Amino acid sequence: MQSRTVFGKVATAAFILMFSALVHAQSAWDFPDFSATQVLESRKADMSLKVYRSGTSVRIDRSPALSTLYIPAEKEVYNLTTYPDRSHQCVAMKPEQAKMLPSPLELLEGPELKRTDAGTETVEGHPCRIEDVTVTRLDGKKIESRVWRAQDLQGVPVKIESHVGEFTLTAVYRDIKLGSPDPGLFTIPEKCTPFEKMGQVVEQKIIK
Amino acid sequence: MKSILVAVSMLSLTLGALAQDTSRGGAAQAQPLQTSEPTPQAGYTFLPESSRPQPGRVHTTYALRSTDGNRPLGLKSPMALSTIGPLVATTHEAETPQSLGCIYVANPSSAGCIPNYNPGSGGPSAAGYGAIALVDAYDNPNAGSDLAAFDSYWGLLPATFVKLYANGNGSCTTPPADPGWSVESSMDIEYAHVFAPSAAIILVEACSSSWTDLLYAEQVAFNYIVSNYPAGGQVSNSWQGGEFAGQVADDSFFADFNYNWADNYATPILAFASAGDGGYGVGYPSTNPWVISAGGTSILRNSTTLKLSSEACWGGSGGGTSTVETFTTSWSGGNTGPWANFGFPIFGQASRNTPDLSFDADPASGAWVYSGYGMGGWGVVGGTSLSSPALASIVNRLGNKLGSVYLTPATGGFDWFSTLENNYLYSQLATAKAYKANFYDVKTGSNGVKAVASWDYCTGVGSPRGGLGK
Repeated sequence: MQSRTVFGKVATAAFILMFSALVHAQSAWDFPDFSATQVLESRKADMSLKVYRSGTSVRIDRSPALSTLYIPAEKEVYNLTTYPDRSHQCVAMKPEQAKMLPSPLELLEGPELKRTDAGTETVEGHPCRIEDVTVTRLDGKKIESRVWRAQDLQGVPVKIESHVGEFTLTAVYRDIKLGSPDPGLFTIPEKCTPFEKMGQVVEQKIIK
Repeated sequence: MKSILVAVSMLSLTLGALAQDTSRGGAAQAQPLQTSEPTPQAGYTFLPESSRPQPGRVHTTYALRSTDGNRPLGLKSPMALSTIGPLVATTHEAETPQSLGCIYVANPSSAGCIPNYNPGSGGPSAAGYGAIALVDAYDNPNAGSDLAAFDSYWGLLPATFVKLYANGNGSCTTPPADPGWSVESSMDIEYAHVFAPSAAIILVEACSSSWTDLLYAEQVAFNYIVSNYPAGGQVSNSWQGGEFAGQVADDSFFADFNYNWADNYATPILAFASAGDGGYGVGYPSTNPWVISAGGTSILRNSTTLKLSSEACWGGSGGGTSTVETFTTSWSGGNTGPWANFGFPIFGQASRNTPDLSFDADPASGAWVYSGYGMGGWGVVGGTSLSSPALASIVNRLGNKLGSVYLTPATGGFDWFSTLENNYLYSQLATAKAYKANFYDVKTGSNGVKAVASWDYCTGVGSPRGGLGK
């Protein structure tokens, strides 16, 4: 009788866990809009960049002169440049052309998303729920990540660990500010040069 | 004696800056240069209009070897300097792909690396990977045919050559042709090819010499390599302008942030920039901590046998301390980005000092360059405009694939640099044996600050020797 009760409790717990996992599977993120300082951890030295998230779009300021805008809804990436004379330049590219170091935040987006609960932990002073995530990207590649979501910050990620091939990219998020960033930061200029038209090949030959 | 000669050479170049280029309709007539101590050894230099600093634009960093201080006419073929000027005996000779290859990548004691001006005298053996991009302003309409003529005369290995206009920013459709910048780009593509014949040579032409157009062209160069040459390569910048307050924001144009997540690789690209030709002092992008700053030397030869005797600091070589790029102002401040673990005390956690590495740049010991549009033939060209593509080519030759950002499978982690190349250079200073084997420590001459043992403001860690340490 007692063993039947124990079995029942275990079965119920297992069912709840499975159900919980199923609920997350295929579901989109529900992060609130926020801005933060993204610190990429490296073996030699960390690197800080300013990041903004609005809806599913992500903006990374690589420097005051160079920003990258990821707009998954449009399947487009934009490089926004400000030159010393204060003139601006926008280059539009497809995600597969955007061969640049991304933000792990951007790596969490894709047409297919599978999220699974993976426990709890306190990170950067925030009590976090951990989720393991498998993202299928537009090109069909899968990227696995672990996300620590701060429960006291409406689930904003305070740490993301992304595994791409044999590499692990780890970022922590500090100075988090909840709320929609300035819409201007996500405004795409009217005129953007397509990536493939940045330059024009006028001569190409083997000189013997 | 050597130091006197170098000092005279420096004085000659300084005075050369006063010469006026009349090739673009300037009113002033070119004046033959006179030094206080005219010597046939020092000869004359001619500073083209494109190399004269002007506000709001960048300038080339080369000077022409001249027999009389006027703009030299292009010659039909290379030859010894003593046969084309009032030179009787000289400690300087015009260098060739063969003689420079002998000094910098083979064995400098090999028969003294005496320049051979005969057709087919050759250059360094096959080596290299990926691509070397040369960023310049304006169009050189004869760039491809110049490289062909250069390779054909010396009997160099075939080159893959690509020319593209950086016109996607709308500044122009076709960059206007410019003779001054054409000499620059001809030299850039020719000497980038010399030391790494297997690397593709990519000439990226900006619409003008404005900062905006050059910085845009820099992005075009990086993106072209990333998109077409997965093995990566180098981007050489033989130009500069004065430092300016907001330049730190532009530093990342010269850094390599690419990572191809779809195919799981990074394309390593490393930028080089001329340290300048005005003697002690700094300019941008040379002080950008992401780039390798290319300083200048003077190759000195025995006046009778012409065998290599030594390499001295070239008086015109740029070098100094940045007032803008410091440990705390660069990037996001502190031990990040290009400054990550920059252990060498001279760089340390203070200001960016230049140059990092050096190469022949004295116009008196300049290299033979073919530029149909710029010179109407062959000419001897020097300046740190020669150093930058040559050093980029030597680093390429050695298979160094250090970009600005890379991921390390060994640790499963993630590393940053550009500084790693510089850290690699500087780390050898403490290792006397490796340093002596891999570099020539230039200890003579002055660019306003005397060259000394180890690092100095004229030649950085020195010049390359052999195939290690770069």
